Amino acid sequence: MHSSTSNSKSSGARARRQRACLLIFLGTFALACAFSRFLQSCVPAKHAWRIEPGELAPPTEEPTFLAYRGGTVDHYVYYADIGGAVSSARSADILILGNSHAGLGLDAAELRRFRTDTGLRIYNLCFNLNERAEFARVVMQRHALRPEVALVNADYFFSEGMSAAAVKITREGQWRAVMNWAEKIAGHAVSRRLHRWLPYFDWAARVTGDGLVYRSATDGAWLVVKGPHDDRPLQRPALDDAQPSPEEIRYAERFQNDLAAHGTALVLTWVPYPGGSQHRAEILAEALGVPFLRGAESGLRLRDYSHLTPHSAATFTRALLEQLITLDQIKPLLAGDTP
Amino acid sequence: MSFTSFAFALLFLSVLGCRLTFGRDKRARSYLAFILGVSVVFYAWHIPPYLCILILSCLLDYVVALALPRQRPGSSRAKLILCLSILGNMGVLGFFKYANFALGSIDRLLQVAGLSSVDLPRLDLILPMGISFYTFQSMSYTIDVYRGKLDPIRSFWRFFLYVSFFPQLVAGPIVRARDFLYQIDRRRKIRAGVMLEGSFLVIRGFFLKMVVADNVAIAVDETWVAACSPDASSLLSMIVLCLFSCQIFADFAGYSSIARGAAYTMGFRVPVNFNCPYIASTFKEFWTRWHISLSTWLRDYLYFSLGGNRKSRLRTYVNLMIVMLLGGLWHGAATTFVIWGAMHGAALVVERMLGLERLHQRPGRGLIKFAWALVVQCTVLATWAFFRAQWTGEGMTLIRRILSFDFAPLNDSMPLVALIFVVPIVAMHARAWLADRSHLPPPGACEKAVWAGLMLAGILTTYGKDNAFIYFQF
Repeated sequence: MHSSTSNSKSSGARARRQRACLLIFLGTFALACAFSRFLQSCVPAKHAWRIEPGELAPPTEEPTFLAYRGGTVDHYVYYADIGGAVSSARSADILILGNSHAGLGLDAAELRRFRTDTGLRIYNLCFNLNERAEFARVVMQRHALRPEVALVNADYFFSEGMSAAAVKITREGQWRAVMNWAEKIAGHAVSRRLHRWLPYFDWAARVTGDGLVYRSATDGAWLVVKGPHDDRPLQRPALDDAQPSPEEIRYAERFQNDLAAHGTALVLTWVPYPGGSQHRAEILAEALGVPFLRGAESGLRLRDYSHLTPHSAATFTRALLEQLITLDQIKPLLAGDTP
Repeated sequence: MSFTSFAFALLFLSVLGCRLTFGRDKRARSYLAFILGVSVVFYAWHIPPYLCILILSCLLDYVVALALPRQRPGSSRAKLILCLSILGNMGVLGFFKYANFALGSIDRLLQVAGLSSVDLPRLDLILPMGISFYTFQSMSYTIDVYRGKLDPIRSFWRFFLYVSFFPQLVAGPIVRARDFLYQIDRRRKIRAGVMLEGSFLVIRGFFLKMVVADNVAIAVDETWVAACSPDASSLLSMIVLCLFSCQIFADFAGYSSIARGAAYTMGFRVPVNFNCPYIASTFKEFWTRWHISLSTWLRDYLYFSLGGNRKSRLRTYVNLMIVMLLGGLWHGAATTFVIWGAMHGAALVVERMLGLERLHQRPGRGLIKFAWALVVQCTVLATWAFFRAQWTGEGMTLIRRILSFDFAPLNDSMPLVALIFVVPIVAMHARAWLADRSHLPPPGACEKAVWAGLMLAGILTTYGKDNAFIYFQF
């Protein structure tokens, strides 16, 4: 009798202690969260942000998909053909290929206006992570993308190799691409809700890149919701005499031949930024015997070290598209004379 | 599947739901079947066809273990059957992990011999997740049966559950069959204390991984190349190396803590894998605190099999070197891992030669203990340079830069800021050091509740960039 009483007493005490521990845990957690909110006011906004209601939502009414959030997402979307983005690219007359300089340097509204005015379907298939031709080739082959014209931003585009993310995606295949995409989407959905209440201390935003980019499912345009927003002048080198390497020319010829086999004409351009060379791209176009479109060349400004501001992107794109419709490769399309 | 994924969160919540409903009596067959199913999903999530390799590896050891008791102990037939298991497991491991390393080595040899025209192929293989862990786990079972320490299990599904039990499947701890199999049939009710302890371990693991390891990784990845350059400041090289030593500890100890906590809430015990290794005062003690399940595996199944320290002194030293070299190679098919293992092996040999391996257990000799502990920790730190390096020269340069004592100021404040994330590791080790010496009591439930609250808030506000666990690649 005595033993059973002491047992029940000790189990009761244990239960009380456990309840107390749970309360201590919850109390400490609540205090720590409150302290983090206070700390947020002491830290520069770029290092500790909190999402205001409505922020980080897709920027337009039309169909979009998450393209970049703390790492690439659109690589998965295009590789695994998720959400119908590829079907729009498949029906495009003009496919734009290149890296993030072209992705951000080609204005979504101008591309859309071009489509409305000319009736030509233009699709921006540029990738971030300084992706080169190899991954674009994989996506085009995988999904049988055969546009009439491929407009390529010839910024070190024609070379072997892919970004580390693209290598991983192509090695691991469809299943992993879909799973990784799903993880990214879930992470984005959770963080959008979580950080309305709690701050996020992004101490290394400079390195990790705190950008958030969506893409239009209709024309692949890049829609930047959160990213660098400087406004600095674009300073181009006084002497630009860089030359493409023989390997680059050989690779570009192979790429051109592959496109030609499917009836796609190649056109080159170069979206300006301080580290690159327009001269190099022009020589490359000359070597391949394809047109080169300069776009706008002056009065451009940068949002960070290498990407055009939205206003400059609009200026550049407008000029580029004006030059594009004068090309012999485009004229039959405008006349509705497509194969 | 990674522990730091939403898929795992859903999977684990479903397991908890089952544990609290039809898994209250852990012996329930439906609960065991559910855990087995979840383990299969967990493994197949990575590359589904690789599930076949796991099943085949299990089948091999299951059949071999059943055949062993029919043979006379120690007979040549028994040895032959055991060899079948070892060769099968090592063959699969070798093919996926070491084939390219071997081909590369042969290629280099051919070039030295002047046969550079021979073009050896390279295999484009994705390493099956956790293969190094589950092959060792499966092999330990067969060897234990061969040694007569364990009776073979009749049910394949129970054996498969032991190998594929999802909390420890991918990166350990390497659980022994004799520590796990009996738990399958043990009846145990759900107890709040156990659930709270398991939750604490899970939160601690996520904190170590998502806050410490992932944030430190940002600074290490960003500055590693600069720290390994021939003109790097000693200060930078030293800070980056310290950061990496914390990163790898937090990454791996974090995984092990989540694994233990998850298993605990499910009603299973998984052994401790890390016990504050950076307070070890001898190399021998370090290996009783770092990746304990691997070091005890190597001791029991390799070191003892080679004769351990029962033969001559020289043989003991050779055995230590062999074990550590193979331990290094187990981590990956690269010269850098071999050097890492060789350095640890040499350190253990020197320590034994000097008779310092039991120094930490002896009373007094404070100054010698302190000096040797310093040597031990500095050596351990130096070995991490090779563990992280892409090639041998990179690690060598980093060590050389530290030893040049050229303390030029840093151009980048990032590594210094990242040292904030080292504070929890230092605090954790300091607390363990004080508790080991009875200056502090072991952490009580209330203290753990406070830490858990703080760590959970840290996870939700300061999680780092999403990175795979370092030991996934092993």
